[in-house]
Amino acid sequence: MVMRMELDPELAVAGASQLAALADEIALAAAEVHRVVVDPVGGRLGLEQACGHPAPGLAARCAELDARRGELAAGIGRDAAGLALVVANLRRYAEAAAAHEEAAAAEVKALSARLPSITSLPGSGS
Amino acid sequence: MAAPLDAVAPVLAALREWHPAYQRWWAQRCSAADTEVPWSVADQARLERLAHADPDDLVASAGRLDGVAARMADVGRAVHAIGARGGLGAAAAEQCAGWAAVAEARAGEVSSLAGELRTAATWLESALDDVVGQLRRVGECLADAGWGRVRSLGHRDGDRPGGSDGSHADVAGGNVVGEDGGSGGDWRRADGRHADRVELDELVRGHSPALRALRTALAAADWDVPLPGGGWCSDPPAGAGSGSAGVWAGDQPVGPGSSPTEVWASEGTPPARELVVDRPYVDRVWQVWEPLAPADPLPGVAEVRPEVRPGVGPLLAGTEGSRTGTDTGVQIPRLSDAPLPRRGRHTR
Repeated sequence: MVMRMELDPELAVAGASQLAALADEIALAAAEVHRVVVDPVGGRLGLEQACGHPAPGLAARCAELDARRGELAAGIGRDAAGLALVVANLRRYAEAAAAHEEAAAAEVKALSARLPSITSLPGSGS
Repeated sequence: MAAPLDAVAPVLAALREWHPAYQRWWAQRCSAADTEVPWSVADQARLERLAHADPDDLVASAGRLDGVAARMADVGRAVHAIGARGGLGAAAAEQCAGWAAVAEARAGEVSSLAGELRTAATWLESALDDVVGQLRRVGECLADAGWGRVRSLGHRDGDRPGGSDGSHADVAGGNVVGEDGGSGGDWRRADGRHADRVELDELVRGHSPALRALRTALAAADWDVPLPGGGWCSDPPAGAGSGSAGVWAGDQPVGPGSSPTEVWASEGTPPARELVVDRPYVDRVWQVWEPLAPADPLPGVAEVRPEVRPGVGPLLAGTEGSRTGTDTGVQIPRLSDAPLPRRGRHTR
């Protein structure tokens, strides 16, 4: 009964479905950030990089922004994975709670079935 | 940005037309110190790279990032609401609340990046406008010089049998009189081509202010930072030229003093701005400097180097007498006589 107070399997399954949809949305957002272009020179870094020299200021700045974009996309992807993990745990808890509920119900049913055959309590002497 | 650069395409073509004249200028180094070095392949490459920089791309990207940030914030709020309504269990509710906070922070990061892109786009647009303006100014200067005359100057000597083809040999071959080590001195020539050189030099010098301004605008648009004393943070690859090196790809730097002082022209890593005495530095120093053997040989030390052997020798000027704490002093061995000073080259 304690578990039932904390977790309602039906509500948990419904919440997990909603969270899963949101996790998918976050994954799409990560993909979009990954596709965003932050390099106005389109990766044309010119002679300097081709010769192994440091990229000039603009290209270096673009590379820095691009690195941040990449980190951001990866971070959002991790967020999506984190939310998906919450969903998976929630579903597992919900299934466990549901199984517990079913088992408890079955036990109650079994006990109820046995009640008519119990004529006297043990030690009653009759 | 492509459209404004298309508008100045004739200027870019004109700059290329200057190639022969610039090569000759480089080969003969007939400039004064105040002359800006001519347009180079590296300048052209930098300009063409910037020509592909479209600030509108950055603005569009910023808009997409704003959309992502808004979506992240919405999702964070939704997750928080789902966790707060109960029925998920304490652990899941806590995870949802934590995730919502992370999503909110992430939305802020995305918005921040979008803002930086907008700032960069605004700045880049302004800088590129300046580049286009300077290009137009250069075009006016070039037009004033007259194309035919410039090209003629660039090819004139090359057409002559045995004439200058812009090579260093011509300069070193003795045709130049009064060369003073490349500082741009008097370039009188014995074959009567003095006038050409002066004219070429004047033409290049006439473009100097415009080229200098253009390079400044290019460097600004390229986010390059001018350093005190000249030069640029992003040093040019050797042989490929730079905004100031003025060496055309495939050309060798020729002529006296062909490396402008304001450019780090050698290969390898530029010198560090601050000296850091760390272990690698000390090791490097000891590869060059080695300690002298002690003046008093220790037992088992076979040899004492003569230059540090105590003995009689001329006193080093200024070391006469005794000094506190230096009662031993240093004896300097007699040096061989210095060679007699040579007479000047132009002594009659």
